[in-house]
Amino acid sequence: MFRKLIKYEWVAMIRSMIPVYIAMIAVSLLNGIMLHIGVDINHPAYRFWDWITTYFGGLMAFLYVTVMMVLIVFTCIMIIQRFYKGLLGREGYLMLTLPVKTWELVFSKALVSFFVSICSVIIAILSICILGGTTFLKVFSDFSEALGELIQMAIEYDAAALTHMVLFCVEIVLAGAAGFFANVYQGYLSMSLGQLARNHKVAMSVVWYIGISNGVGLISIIIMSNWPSNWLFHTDYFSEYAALHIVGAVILLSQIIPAVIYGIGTDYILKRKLNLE
Amino acid sequence: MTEGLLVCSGLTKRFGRKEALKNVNIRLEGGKIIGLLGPNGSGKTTFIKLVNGLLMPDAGSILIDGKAPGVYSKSIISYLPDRMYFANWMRVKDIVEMFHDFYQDFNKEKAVDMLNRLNIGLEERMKHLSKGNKEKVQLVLVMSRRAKLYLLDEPIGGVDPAARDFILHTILTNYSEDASVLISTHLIADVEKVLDEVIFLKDGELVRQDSVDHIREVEGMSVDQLFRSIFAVPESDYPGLWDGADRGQAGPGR
Repeated sequence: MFRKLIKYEWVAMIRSMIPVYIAMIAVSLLNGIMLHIGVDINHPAYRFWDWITTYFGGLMAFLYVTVMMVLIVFTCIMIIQRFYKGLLGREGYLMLTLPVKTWELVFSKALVSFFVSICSVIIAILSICILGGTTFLKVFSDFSEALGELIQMAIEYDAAALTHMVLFCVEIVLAGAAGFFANVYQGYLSMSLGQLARNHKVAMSVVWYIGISNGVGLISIIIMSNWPSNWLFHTDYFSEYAALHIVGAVILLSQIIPAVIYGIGTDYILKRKLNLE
Repeated sequence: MTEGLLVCSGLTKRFGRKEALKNVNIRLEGGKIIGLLGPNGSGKTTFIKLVNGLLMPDAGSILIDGKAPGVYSKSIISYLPDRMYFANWMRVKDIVEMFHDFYQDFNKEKAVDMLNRLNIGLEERMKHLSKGNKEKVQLVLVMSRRAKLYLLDEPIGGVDPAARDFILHTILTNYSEDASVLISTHLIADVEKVLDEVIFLKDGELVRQDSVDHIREVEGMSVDQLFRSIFAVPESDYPGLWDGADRGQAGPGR
């Protein structure tokens, strides 16, 4: 059932995103052409081309920034809207009466939001590549070469250290993914709490989001200011590599724990306190 | 005592200070068509939403086939809400596939056949369908399941008399024989002929649950007439609207 939920959520979300992705690529292509087509200064049409690139190029650059902003904002709006409309709105009458568990409904939305966000990031990177054109390819090729050399040197110098650094990077990437889910579930929890209000449910969702953010911020400050960090780097207890991974694990847990708490809270409200109007 | 298909005990639901349902006790058995009758605001939709798990009761309990609302109850209840619940971007075939994917008791061939007979194309987008056709699609899907309990919230409200006949015909010819159908409505005259049993709700309270035959036998009147006698609005509330004659046959409700 969970796979079926993922399938329907993916179709519902990606179909709204595709026009934005197409617009992003199209505007990038136009900008790339403007940037890379040059005309000889002695060419009879040079003045006309110069006029075109000055005015039309400016407009295209503005359009590029606008579409990039739309891509970011629209991705966020879709994540919110798919939960609010899909579960707490009219569509909730269908989704919440399907014979599936509530956490599956919510997690399918979060998981699809994650993949759609990755798609948006890929499209944003692709658009920058298109803007860069051949220059980008050259920089990318040089960078890959330099990175390869750097890795080779690191292996020769200290292969174990490199392995631990790569592992640490993996831990940080996982923490980033967990952080995404923590943020999305914070939104879900806020909307679920907001729907408990009799009136102004959207406004109350925003209030809850701000309240939770401030509460978590306060707790983080209290924990961090009292964190006994010195022992971590005391080599009597840990090797420097172990300390590195403990830091990685703490960062990872600091994202997983709130994500799980928000997830349990959302599930509880949708199961025990639902008030679908 | 046998386990009822739907057993509600002391069911209470409040919205703020207003009590939408007050200590309601209802027991339904299988194989019947039951009318959930009451004027607007009597608690019919609230009751159906509680059974579906879309609202949570403040007090009391609900058991569907012996179990509280959850995954199992959702797999045996076929619910027609009083509003459209499909996303407008969906095509009719998407919705048919969705029901086929999620409900094991869904008969896809039957649904497609009914849609074809209604001249509703599978490729049509929901947003391009008329309101009446959207309602028909929803009803076809709900009635293409072999559910144990059908909960139909105002299935004939807001549609023309011809469409009402189609809807009632679809309900009568498609529900599984051992299942029960609960139809919420205030259009008694249209559904009375198909009902086995009625439940009257007034201001959130259960006024009466009885069989249609028993009502006719004991009260000597139709369900429609009994409804009007129970829910009659005092004449003082609408002075001058009628002359007071023949109250049993004509009134503001007609």
